[in-house]
Amino acid sequence: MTMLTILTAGPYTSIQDKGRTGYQALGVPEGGAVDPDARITANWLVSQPPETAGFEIFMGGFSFKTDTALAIALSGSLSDQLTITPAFGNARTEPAGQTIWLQPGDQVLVPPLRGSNLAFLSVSANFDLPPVFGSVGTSPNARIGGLDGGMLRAGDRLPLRAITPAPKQRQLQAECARLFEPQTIFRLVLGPQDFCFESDQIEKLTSSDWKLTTRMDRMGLRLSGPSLSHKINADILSDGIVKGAVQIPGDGQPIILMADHQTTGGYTKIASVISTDLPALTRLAAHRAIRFVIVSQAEAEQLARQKAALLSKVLPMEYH
Amino acid sequence: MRQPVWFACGDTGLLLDFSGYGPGLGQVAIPATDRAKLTRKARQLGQMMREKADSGAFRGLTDIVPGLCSVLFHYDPVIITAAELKQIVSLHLEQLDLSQQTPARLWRLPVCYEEKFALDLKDVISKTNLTPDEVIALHTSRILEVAIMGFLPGLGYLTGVDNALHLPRRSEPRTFVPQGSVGLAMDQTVIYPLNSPGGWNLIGRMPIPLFDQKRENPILFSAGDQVSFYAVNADKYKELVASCVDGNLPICPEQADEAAL
Repeated sequence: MTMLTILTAGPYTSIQDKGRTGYQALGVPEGGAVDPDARITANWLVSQPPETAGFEIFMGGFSFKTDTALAIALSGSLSDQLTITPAFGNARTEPAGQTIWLQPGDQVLVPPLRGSNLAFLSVSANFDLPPVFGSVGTSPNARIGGLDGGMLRAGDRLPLRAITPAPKQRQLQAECARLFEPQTIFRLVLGPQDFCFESDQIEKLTSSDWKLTTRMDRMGLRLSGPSLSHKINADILSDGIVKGAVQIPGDGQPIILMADHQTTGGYTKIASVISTDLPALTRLAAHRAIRFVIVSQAEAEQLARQKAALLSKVLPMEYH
Repeated sequence: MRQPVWFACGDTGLLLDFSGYGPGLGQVAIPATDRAKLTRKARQLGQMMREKADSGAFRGLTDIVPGLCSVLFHYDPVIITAAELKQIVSLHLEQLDLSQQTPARLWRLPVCYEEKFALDLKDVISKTNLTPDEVIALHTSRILEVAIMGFLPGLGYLTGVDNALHLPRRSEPRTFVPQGSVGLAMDQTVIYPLNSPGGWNLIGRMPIPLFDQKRENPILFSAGDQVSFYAVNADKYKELVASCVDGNLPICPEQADEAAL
């Protein structure tokens, strides 16, 4: 059986795909790659359908060995490079954002990332893992997906199936690479519980600098900045939650909810980061400063459609 | 009754809230019986929309999540807009017939309330002024309703708990609560589907996994189902745990009597 063997897992690397759609009413998190733009582009570079599972790598420090020939590609952190060390001979470096060819015995290292906090590495094969609720993606809090529901560890062995026989040599074009330029202003749609805040608190949300803290994982990322106070308190009747929701708990410090967020919750959500901007937020490292601006729900929808149109234009999906 | 209110959740969610809170009203307190009714109505609308979406009547609805007095529609903005979705849902809301409710399932679940599983029983006794036997009697006396799901796969928030057992959460949440633990907090009780952190007051343990990937239906109960508990001793508990191996499910639900709630 063909295998990838994990040599070093890095601080927070996991198998991710498109996630689980339609099970949140049962308490099952949506999951999936927190940066779908990186997943879609990396998969395109290895001639795989956009929803295919690959490695989601926070901060880097990830390496593995292949016992078979295949293509790989790194996206999400386009200025970083990979080191490929063959079984015999000299190591070489390869850039992100293009198809890279591996031979049996090759070792691949994604060094500590400098261009981004997050990268996605795709392979021209499928992981031979049992899907749970239609996905092999890992949700560590629910302990589902991946190898055993957890993050990857050194020594893990991942069986492969359906290796693509002849992936195309591809490279991300400038128009597409622009999606991965660092962003510091993020657009919000107000609601669902903006009415739990006086207008001066909404003003504070959009006029302040917010810093990302080290408290970030697949469930959410916590910001620090001026405290936002509620009219009454932080508690609401528990309701459903979307990715990108900006939750304001009792301490007034926002938490932006990510792919593995709880499906329902009882804290006020003042606004939501729009789907177009959320991937760029996941690429920012701790201590970076960001700002928010408000758009309407209709404007946000328009932006989502524009991005989808751009992706289908720059990533023509004719496979093989 | 107040009109339901729509709220935006970014460009991928639309919340329909039946509690009537919102601009100008703030966070209103709703009596428990009204809350249960509104929660059922929201849930039933969600079910109806799920059936319509599954039948292919429209596209772009990606998930439907019932909350307390609300239902969240997740949607794909590339396929459908919030404005279109509002129109479709509003149309169905008018047709919603609460008498046409699908019969709920009633799960009679065993709980071992013995000391080794009832980690917070001492606390619960001192806060409620009840004896251990009274705590067990009250916890097993009612038919409860799975109001909503959340937190972990298969975890349901059960409402209808006797007033004497209403308690605040523990001031210090535990970093580790074992799978199957039965907890009390506020006016609710829960069973933990997995080992996890948690702040509820633990009074026993339930041997049947709420979530087991080996089962054909990995999740045991869902929102709208009814649950009642009965006490078992440690030997019976062990026997039931053993009978759940390899995805085996040693119990099955009964048809619920709606009037029991």
